[in-house]
Amino acid sequence: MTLLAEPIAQAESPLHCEEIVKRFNGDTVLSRITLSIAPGSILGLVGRNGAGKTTLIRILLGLLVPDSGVASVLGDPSLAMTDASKTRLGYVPQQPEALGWMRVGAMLDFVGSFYPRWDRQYVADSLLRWNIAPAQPLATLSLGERQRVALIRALATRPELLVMDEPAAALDPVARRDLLRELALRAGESGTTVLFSTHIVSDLERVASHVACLHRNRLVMNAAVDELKERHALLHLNAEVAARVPAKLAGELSRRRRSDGGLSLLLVRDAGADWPLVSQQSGAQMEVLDLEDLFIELTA
Amino acid sequence: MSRIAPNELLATFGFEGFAPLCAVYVFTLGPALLVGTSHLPGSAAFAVGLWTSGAFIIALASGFCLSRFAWDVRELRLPAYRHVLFRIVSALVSMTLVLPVVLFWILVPGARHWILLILAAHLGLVLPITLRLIRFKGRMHRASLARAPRYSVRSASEAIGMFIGRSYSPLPTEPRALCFLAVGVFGWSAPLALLLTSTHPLWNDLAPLYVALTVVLSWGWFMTGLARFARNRLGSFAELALLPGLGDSANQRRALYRAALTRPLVMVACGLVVGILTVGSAWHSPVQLARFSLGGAILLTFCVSAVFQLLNLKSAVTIRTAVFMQSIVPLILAPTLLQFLPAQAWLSHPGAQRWFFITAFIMIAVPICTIWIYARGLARQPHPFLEMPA
Repeated sequence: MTLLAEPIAQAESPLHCEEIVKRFNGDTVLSRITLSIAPGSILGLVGRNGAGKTTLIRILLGLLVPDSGVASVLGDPSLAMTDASKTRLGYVPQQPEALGWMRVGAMLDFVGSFYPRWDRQYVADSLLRWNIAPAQPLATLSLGERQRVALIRALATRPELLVMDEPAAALDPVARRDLLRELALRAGESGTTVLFSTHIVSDLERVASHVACLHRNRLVMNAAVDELKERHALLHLNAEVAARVPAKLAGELSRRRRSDGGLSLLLVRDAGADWPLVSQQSGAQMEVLDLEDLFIELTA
Repeated sequence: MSRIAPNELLATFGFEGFAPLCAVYVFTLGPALLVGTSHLPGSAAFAVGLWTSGAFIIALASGFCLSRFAWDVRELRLPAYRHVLFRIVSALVSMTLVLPVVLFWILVPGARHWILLILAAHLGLVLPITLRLIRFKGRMHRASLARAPRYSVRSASEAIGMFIGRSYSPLPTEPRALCFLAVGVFGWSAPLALLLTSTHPLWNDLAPLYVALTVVLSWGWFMTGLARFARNRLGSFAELALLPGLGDSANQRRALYRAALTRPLVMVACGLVVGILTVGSAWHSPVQLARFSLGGAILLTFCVSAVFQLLNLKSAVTIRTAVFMQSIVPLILAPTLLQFLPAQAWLSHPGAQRWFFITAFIMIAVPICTIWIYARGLARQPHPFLEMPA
């Protein structure tokens, strides 16, 4: 049993996909992924390298054609988005490469002319705060600086839906904290829906309202952060109790044998349900997991 | 001796680009000698000019590769790289400098001034180092500028042009940038005017070469920009696909074609027209005019086909090979057609006529088929900015 939230109706969800399958050269990268994001929520997409996070985001945005399944953005099919939907969408790619020959100010001016709600004041303030000169050519910026410019660009459009592919990967801790604060503010004040993929699970705990985890081409977890913490736990059993425990416990997600003969079991329970009885025996110890531990237990 | 350094050198040149690079160099040496031997008709001078300008490009490309290699091996501390570098520089200098000079000395005693041209062409070998210095200083200067140039974008194709790169972008509206541009254009055109008006035969001979060099350099510039755009699909294509204001997918496709095709084709067409005007002798004979028209048609078809291919290719290696071959093939193809296929003596023979027309038909039909195949492939996609997995 894994924790997967009930999909929201397609019409209500700003970003939705159903039964997505994608193969590259015969290898399945995504296998029957169904995902919906609730309006106003911040969904963190986690997964190990090569889990398919970027591929899923690209399919969701209509940048890649899936082998089967459908995706929609703000009510439009992803592969045929209208201009109206595009003006409500902000996207930060993993490696911002476009328009590298331009200067920062000129690029932001140029891109801003396509968006009716472009926030010039936000651009000016952000460039100043992050110490980026408008006259600097984009090609001479470091990767972290380019990522900041991409973030400014996406946020200045005042998007209703913001999709970011590893936005914090190249940012220093201060800039990362700034970004997270901005995201929380946008979601809280303007009701912006956010999807972001990341490796840094501690970021999720700070800002995400929901977490989805991709592992071995499948969506193995998708739920609210509080619910995830409340419903998952690690059960440690000493060797004596471990010898008596059945081959598969109810709600068991993974099992790891320790060198002392004991067992560590990752368990999930239904909302309001109790943990298995074995957890109350002497020689058994329950450990509440934070998101990082849970991610490691699920994917290691 | 360790094989790491030779392998690194080959990798720097690009395994798939090394052999054609050598072949094309040898191919360009002959015409350089030919142009010195006799008073060629104007069209031949233009054709040979195209060829010879290939030698400049190759010397320049070799210079870039060698300087990049030397830089890499120092950084990586590769063993025995100095011997490899010495051997390759010796081979290159022999091939591109000593051999042409000796051949000129022996074969063309009456036109030794061309030796100077050959020598000048190889200054390209030291150019990368100079450029590195200029680029470093230029970067510092640019960063201190208070204002960035402004662009006024009026259509979807101009917007796409901005994403393709500087060579495809509309003119900046900032006065300083416009002044720089005007000075650049004037500075580049002034020597041509001087060459054309000069009474000295040597300078007159150089005029077609100058036109050809301009065409080849511009074509290379456009194609390199387009290839970079095609390679950066993940970046540029994603942003274009999500940029509002470009219309529906059919509109986007048309705008992409317009953006990618207009400038390079206008440049090639202008080059052809200037070439015809420069070699005024071509107008005296209908056969010469037919040669130019046919050669021009084939060249333009090849150029369109090259652009369509670049927009559809998937892997970076294929794109690199394609851009190299498609820059070189028209360079070789056009002069061959112009000069050798429709010679008057040949055309008087019915058999030769048939073969000439069959060859010309194939040379136009193949790129047209390529264009049709790639355009159909692009039209079947939901929108033209999809990522195409390699």
